[in-house]
Amino acid sequence: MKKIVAALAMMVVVNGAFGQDAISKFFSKYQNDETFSQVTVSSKMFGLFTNMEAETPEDKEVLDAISKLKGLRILKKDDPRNARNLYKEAFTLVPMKEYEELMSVRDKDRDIKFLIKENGGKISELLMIMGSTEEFMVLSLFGEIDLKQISRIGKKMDVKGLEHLDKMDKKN
Amino acid sequence: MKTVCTGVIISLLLTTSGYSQSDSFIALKEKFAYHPDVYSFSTSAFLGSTLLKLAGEHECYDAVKSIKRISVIAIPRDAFGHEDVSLSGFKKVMSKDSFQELARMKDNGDVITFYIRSTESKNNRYMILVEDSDNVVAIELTGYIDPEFLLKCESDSTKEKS
Repeated sequence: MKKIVAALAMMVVVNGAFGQDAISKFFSKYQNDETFSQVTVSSKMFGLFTNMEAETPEDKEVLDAISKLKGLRILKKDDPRNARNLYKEAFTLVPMKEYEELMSVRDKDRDIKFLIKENGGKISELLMIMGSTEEFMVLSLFGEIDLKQISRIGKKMDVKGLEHLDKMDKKN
Repeated sequence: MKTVCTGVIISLLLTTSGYSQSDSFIALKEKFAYHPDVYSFSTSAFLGSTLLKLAGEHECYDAVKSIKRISVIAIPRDAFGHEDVSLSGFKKVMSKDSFQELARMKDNGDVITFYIRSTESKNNRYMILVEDSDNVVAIELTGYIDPEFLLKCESDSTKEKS
């Protein structure tokens, strides 16, 4: 019986380790580094949008899309010395096989890559990796992500970098 | 007559402030009530929202205008040791008191965590815990804050330095 319990516990641990989102590896590596800023938003926050009243049908679509999100994590560092190195490091820590490149932006000295992870035909994670000569940022948005609403969600959340998703919306 | 009126007003104020704080906040206040370096106050949110309006912070004012009461307690980290309690213990108390974490921000070693105890009637309770190397500040708000504003607050924190 003990062995079964131990095996089950091991399965949970292993599953947990593989189920870790890409940014978690960054968080675990740099969580005690005070030069990094971190933001974590829980599913409860997005759940608050479920019963909100919308003024227009478009707003309603955005609110519905936000309420399906499960979390947001941001890791940021303002440091001209190694921002570029961190950008490169990000791609070594992200299991690229699991992600598909959605869009790549070069804006002045800033490189931004948007990656998505799909599960059963639905986008389950949007990863944004941004690096410039002055700053580095990794953003992971997870849950059920509606690609059609993503630029509007970006505007609602007012997260730096997500405004570039507008370009993708206009292309579609 | 004056005495009666004053008495009624004081009783009303005391009753209102009693109802306007969560068990978690009361527990914190009672635990540190006699500690000399602990500061706390509770006030109607009218003053704060009026100041926001006067300052032209209309977006902020619109988002927090339904806040009814604000309670604040600032506790030096040392006091936790003296009272033989811990912040993680207090977070467990909050969890039992039905507070759920909304968001957490960490910057320069300081940690700010937002919690909510929501109700259907929009008479929510929000707890903001600000932890720095010297102090822990707990801010409890009663009322309703526009979630869109809350979400923007979190994302804005990543822009402050840029």
